[in-house]
Amino acid sequence: MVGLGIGQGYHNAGRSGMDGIVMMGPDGRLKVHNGVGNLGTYSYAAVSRAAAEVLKMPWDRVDIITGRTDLHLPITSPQDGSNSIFTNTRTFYGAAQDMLTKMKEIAANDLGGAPEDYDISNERVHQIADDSAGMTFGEVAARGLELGGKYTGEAELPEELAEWTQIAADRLAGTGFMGIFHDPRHEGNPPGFTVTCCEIELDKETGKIEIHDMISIGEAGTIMHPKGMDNQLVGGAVWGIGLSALERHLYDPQNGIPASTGYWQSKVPTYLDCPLKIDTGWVDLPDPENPVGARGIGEPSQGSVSAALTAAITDALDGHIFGASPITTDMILNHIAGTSEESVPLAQNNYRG
Amino acid sequence: MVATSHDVMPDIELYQPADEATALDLASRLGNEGWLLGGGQDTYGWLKDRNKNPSAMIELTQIDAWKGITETVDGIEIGAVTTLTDIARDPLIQSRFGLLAEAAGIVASPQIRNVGTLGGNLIQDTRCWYYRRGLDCYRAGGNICYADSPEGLNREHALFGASRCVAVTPSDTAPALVALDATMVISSTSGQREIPAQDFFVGPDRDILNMTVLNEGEILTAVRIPNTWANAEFYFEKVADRNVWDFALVNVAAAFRTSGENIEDARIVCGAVECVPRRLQDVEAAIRGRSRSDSTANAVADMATAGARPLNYNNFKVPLMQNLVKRAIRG
Amino acid sequence: MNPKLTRRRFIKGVIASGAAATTTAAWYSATGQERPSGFVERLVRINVNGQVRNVDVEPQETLASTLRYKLGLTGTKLGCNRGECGACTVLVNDVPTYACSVLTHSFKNDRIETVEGLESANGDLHPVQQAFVEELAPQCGYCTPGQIMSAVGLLRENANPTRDEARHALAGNICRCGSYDSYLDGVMRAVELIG
Ligand SMILES: Cc1cc2nc3c(=O)[nH]c(=O)nc-3n(C[C@H](O)[C@H](O)[C@H](O)COP(=O)(O)OP(=O)(O)OC[C@H]3O[C@@H](n4cnc5c(N)ncnc54)[C@H](O)[C@@H]3O)c2cc1C
Ligand code: SF4
Ligand code: FES
Ligand code: FES
Repeated sequence: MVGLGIGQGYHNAGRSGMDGIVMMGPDGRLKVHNGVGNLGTYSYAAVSRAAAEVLKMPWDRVDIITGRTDLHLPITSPQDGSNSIFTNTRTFYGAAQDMLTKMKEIAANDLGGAPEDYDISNERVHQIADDSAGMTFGEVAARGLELGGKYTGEAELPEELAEWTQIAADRLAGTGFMGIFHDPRHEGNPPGFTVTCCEIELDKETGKIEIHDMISIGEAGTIMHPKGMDNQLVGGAVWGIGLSALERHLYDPQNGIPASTGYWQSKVPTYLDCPLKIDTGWVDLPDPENPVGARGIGEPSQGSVSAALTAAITDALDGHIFGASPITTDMILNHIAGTSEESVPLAQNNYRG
Repeated sequence: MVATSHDVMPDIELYQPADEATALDLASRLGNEGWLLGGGQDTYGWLKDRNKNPSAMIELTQIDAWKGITETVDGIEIGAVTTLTDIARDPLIQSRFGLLAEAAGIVASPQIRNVGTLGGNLIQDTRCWYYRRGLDCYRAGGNICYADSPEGLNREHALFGASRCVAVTPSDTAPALVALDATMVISSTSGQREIPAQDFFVGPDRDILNMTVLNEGEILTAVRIPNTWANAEFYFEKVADRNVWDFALVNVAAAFRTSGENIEDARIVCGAVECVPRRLQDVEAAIRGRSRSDSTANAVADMATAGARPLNYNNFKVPLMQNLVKRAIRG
Repeated sequence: MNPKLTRRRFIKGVIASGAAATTTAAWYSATGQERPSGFVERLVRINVNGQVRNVDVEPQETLASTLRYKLGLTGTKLGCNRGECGACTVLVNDVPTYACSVLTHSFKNDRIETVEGLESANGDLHPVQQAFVEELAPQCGYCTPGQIMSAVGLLRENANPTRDEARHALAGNICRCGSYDSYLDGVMRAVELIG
């Protein structure tokens, strides 16, 4: 039996209220102080690029300072809940903007005119009218160090910095030219959306399903890293397949112990339980609330795949809804045979509770 | 008691006999204190969990005489420590006894097949999770069955042959070998005996602690497959939750000899429905003289599961077993 | 029953048999007993990544344990330690094997390869590694060494696999991040890189 399913997934995809710090020394290299963890998606690097873009700096002139709080990192959202890209591009964009403003001020102060008369290119701040009148970033940073005060984080820090951003800023104060930014908290959640369509073949004699075709499309604003985006969509799909078809977590009511220990019992999907290829795509429309247009993705695809697969099973079974997941071989066979094992106590299953 | 999971092996001895005589001697001396080691894929979990506590391991895989596939006058002989990968890929087995190649090729995962042996696959212990978890059930020497109780989680358990214990045979190759009328060659210091595959496996009514007839000190050294079913029409199918690493919910291994349209003789064996591979002799008899068709299959479906006594959560195995038998017959 | 007593009784029996055994040398020195003849030294030589290494290996020690904790080759990961995930996959004579579920003593005459051994002498990554980087195949990376070893094993046996053959060959490696598609893209790219 062929079954078709469409599912939609949503997850809030961005926070606010975090802080960003960027630093520069006389060598003119940009140091992005970044507290985003790395679960393998490298989003800490992706979000740092927002700062590099503001300052129009080549990527190999940027250092990401990360991994340990004693490296003086601002509060950044944890790498979870589909929010890193949105949240932390805002903070690093803001910190770099602050540095840019300060660069123009220093240049105007030293070379004359108003800050608005200045622009940047090729790691220099220069007059818009005459780009020979300017300073290199290294020179500006050195001047900032001489001037001190707000240029080195010793004065005029943004109000409302989180407590440990404050600590990081205090320790960095005076050690370099600083850009710092607090992202004010705002109402509401930016959404990450996915839609999945799938076609399955359900074997009514064995209760097994095979996914023939699956495509997930994400709506997450501007796509920062297509391959990373693809990984989030396919990775979520594998989770969704597990949620809807395989991963049943039972507790043993007799002995009060978990009964699905080990992978042989908890049944994480394998290569052969997933389609040979999971197709992905995205809308790529910039988000107006984010300086680089990006929003998070990650969680939504689990939801849409799980829903699409459940719907496809329902479709293959003439509309029968199990009202529980995962929908395993035994449930499908019992349904077809008309035997009921609804007596499985609900509390035994995570996804039925 | 529930054992704690240790991630390291217990401190026990290892013997690596290089020849048959030494191995048999060790097996007899060490008795139950010595754990025979094929590929170890159903060994280390037990030991790491401290749920089986032998004092030593006797590694059988260094003994070349028990390894490999050879042609004999009336069939083939497979050494008991031959790996499942070697069996699945062997041209002779593929061409003559494709049923076994298919069964061996679907066990667990590629890496497990690369080291897991035929002997180990046949003799591996049941997967009843209560027992694996180290609970003190009948099979572990206690006096309760957690699976066959009002709150038992017994989705994977037996339809047939319950006797206090309702655990099932986990092996994918066992039903294939029963269907092929194979013979098990068993050696010990006191000599050699041969047992038909069908009688090699024992249910809890006969021995609730062991799943085979092997006595202390005995080693399975080879499996012989006669040419009786060589190049017959075969059918193997395994249904498990996942397509890798998963034990059968039900599997079926079948062989058919036909002349013209009609079935002359057949073997149909199901795994994971009883503690031993379940041969369906009534069905085999009923389909003789009939064609491999829908109507034959449908006519014997109920017979395939006659006498089944489902537990709380394994009712689905009844239609599943019927359907697999039907598919085998239809071809 | 006191397990120590059991052990002692049985070891005495075995000593009399003169069979080859690897056992805890310390036990013998503690009990002042002679080693049985044919005793296999705990100090073994194993061939890892083309180098013969002398290691003190306990009789019951798994290969993963030796590699990680005796030889410092921590590229081989332990996920489940039970043969259920594939993170520990290494090659033994080119054959993908779960290092958590084999004994080091079983491989005294074999060629063991871990992910550390793949890089060439001049520091170039193995084509499978290079392809995995280019495809951004890993996410968290925990399963990656195992996936790489399975892929290398496959390509040595079949230099031109189809995507479906590749997925069957890698089927004994779980990826909890769900990067299966990307790993398969990686294998197919490695085929091109190797040319
Ligand atoms: C995650 C996982 C999934 C699995 N999935 C499957 C599956 O889908 N299908 C399946 O059939 N199996 C499965 N297995 C079970 C099993 O481990 C393998 O099938 C393997 O074949 C066992 O062989 P071995 O040689 O490694 O066994 P070993 O662990 O070496 O031996 C198993 C038992 O047999 C005894 N033994 C071994 N050889 C002999 C001999 N020659 N004479 C006397 N006794 C002997 C041992 O003492 C031990 O008690 C799975 C195992 C795991 C860990
Ligand atoms: S089915 Fe057998 S092995 Fe499982 S709990 Fe009952 S007695 Fe023990
Ligand atoms: S760690 Fe060896 S298979 Fe999981
Ligand atoms: S990349 Fe994370 S488990 Fe595979």
